[in-house]
Amino acid sequence: MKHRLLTVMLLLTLLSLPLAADASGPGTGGRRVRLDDYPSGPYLLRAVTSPTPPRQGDFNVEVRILDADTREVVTEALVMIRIDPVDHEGTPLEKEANHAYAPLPEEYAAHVPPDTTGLWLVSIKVESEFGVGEASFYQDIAAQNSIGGALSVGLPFAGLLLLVLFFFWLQRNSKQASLSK
Amino acid sequence: MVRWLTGGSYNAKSISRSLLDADVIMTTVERPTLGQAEAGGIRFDLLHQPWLGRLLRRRYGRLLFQIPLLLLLLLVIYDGFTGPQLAPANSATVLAWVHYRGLVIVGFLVLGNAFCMGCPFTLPRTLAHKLSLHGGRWPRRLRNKWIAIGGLLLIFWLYEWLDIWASPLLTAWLALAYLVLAFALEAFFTESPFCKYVCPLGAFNFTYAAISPFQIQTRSAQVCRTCQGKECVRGSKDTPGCGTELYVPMIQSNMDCTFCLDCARACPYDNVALGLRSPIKESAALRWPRRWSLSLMVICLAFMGLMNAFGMVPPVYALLDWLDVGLRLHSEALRLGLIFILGDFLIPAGLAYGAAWIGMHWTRSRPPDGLKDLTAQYAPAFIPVGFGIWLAHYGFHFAIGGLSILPVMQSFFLDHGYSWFGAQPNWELSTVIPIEWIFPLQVTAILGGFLISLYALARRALRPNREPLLGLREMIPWAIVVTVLVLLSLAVFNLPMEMRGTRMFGV
Amino acid sequence: MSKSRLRTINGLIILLAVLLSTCACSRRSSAGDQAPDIDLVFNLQPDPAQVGSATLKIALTDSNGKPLEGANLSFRGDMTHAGMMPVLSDLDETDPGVYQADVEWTMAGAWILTIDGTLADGRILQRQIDLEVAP
Repeated sequence: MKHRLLTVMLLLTLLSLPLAADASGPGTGGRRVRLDDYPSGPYLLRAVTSPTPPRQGDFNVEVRILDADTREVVTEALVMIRIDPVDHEGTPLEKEANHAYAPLPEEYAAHVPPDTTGLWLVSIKVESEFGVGEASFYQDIAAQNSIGGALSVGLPFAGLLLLVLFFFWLQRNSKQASLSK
Repeated sequence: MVRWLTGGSYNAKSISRSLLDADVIMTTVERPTLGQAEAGGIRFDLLHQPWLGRLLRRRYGRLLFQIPLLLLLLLVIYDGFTGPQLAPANSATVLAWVHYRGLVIVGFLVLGNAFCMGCPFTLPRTLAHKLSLHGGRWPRRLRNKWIAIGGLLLIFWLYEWLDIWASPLLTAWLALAYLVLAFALEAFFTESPFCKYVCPLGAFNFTYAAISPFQIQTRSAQVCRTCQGKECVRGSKDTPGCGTELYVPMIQSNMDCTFCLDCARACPYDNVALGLRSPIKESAALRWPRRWSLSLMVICLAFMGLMNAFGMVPPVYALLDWLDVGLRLHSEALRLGLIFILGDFLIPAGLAYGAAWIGMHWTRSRPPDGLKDLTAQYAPAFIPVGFGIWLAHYGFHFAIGGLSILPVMQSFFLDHGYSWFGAQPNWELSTVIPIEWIFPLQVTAILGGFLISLYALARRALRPNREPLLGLREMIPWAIVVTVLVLLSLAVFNLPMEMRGTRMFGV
Repeated sequence: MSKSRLRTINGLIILLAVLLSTCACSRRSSAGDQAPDIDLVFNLQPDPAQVGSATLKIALTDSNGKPLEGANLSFRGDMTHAGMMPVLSDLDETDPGVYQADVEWTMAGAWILTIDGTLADGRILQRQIDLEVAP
């Protein structure tokens, strides 16, 4: 009986290993610099993506624009962010980045969730009175982390429930054993 | 004078003064100790392994571990007082709050109470004894774990209030205070009261040594039955006996065992082993003494793990602000004190009392000592989940900053004019493992501890000649407490950290 | 008093004396800043600081208010807890006497910024600034 209990617990322990890292935990930061003052026409572009790693259905791009000559922050520009799948199925998506979505008021950001996993091309286009600038980079999109997070929260309840069920099973077995005697 | 000592259920009872003074102590050991069988059935004895075993059993074997730790302690004190008052750049704070905490936790999994084995704070004891200050016995009323619980509360409160983690100077003062206190208690009392009843580090280490794979055991019970000198506890000509007065044939757990190995060195029959055992038996199967202080220490330590992590995430600052504005508690010391008294002691004690009360009434049982019995029955099951929470926290800091000791020591030597280890410290050295691994490992540690705790609760609830469902009714309130503790821990570890420490004293 | 006790007490006194004399030694790190006359003005964008990208600007002037050019400066941001990853960057001179670096605040909480480097005249400059980074 004790060995069976131990086996059940060991199996549950194995199931507890999250299949992929959940980057929202402490210390991971969740953000990654992809372009660092990249020269693009009359601008210097800094692009930061989140979360880390970005996942199917969850991808943000933040952009800071500097005037390449004066290094002043450009706050009046039209910024478009586009994602295109590379060599696989997926729906291209283009959105205007704005200040409201960005964590920093001088920057621009947009939520551009890819609908499939794999390699995507992220393109940034900036238009303002100073001119037009473009830059792009490749981004690998991972699958949704539906298992690790659910297990982390669901496992405690599942463990408790299994424990209760185990005791009921033991109770039934002990009753059957006493009846057969 | 002859005294008979009957085998008890646990080694936590001190050997009484009359027994120690007896000319002969005769024993009846009623049952084999954990992991040990008659006629040399120890599965693996560390003390009889090539070179390591010889080293550990040598007369000054313990010193070989204590001296390096003493040097590190002196470094902590020196660098804390004289070095840069910047926690990440000072070996005092890096060694104490990153390496000590991380390595002691890993040590439990690999060996056992490795820190107490090499504890430098006990070296003053030897000096104190040489000064021949005749020590009395520790007062009977204080022979419990209440002072240890109080010490833990005090340390954790000071840690948060004074931001000791951010201050090399305060870290050095804390280390010095430990030395002075250890010396004073060892000078004026026998029975190593500092280790056994006072030291908060000891309380933590004794509790989580319960999951260690090694334990002091007898190689042959028959040898102990016929032994007349009982040198393991009374000492021999060259070696003192057990400092915490544990009698080897009665040892069934690692509680109060400092792994000093004096018993092994003193035994004239080489009958003491540091043997392999099941790491979960102590929390799942062993019958613990029926003492409130011991049970609550174990339960509170698990909650202290949660609260220690809680002290570093945003909700604690929101709570502090609410206490300031809502309850007009303007003193930070008072606010933190209230949070920690509640979270570290009153709530866990209340939950334990409540779980025991519900279990007793659901089963209509009447244990001889009532709630104290039930609490002692299930308290050890909190050890695995508590260990998992502490491993997640201390392991995180070690994983994030373990390598930072390299540039810190480079800088230390450069400060003193030595460029042996490079002229330019590489301050980018920090993480031991990739950052992306850390959160999954934290979750695994907590959930692994939780599942072992559930197993321990189930084992303790199942008894012969009792229906399993009665055991379930008695145990389920405890299982719910453990589950809530785990959910709160997972929530806390999932929050981003925000450490608002301030530098004090001379920065 | 027995000889053994006397020897032990003597040993303790000698140990204490050694420790105290060691503590009295000066360390290079405690004599870091060789240019206390230099004025350092610190500017951070965005202000107040919050987790994420930021631009750090340092303006150095001498006692006459003249910008100090040609300094070789670096910046280190440490959290107050030991073992947390620091933020490191060199500071580039963008204008006479003005030095700039882009940084990324990785975590909310209390940070200690250390500006370290050598001035054009060879003196070492070392300053520390406390900063609170919001989530």
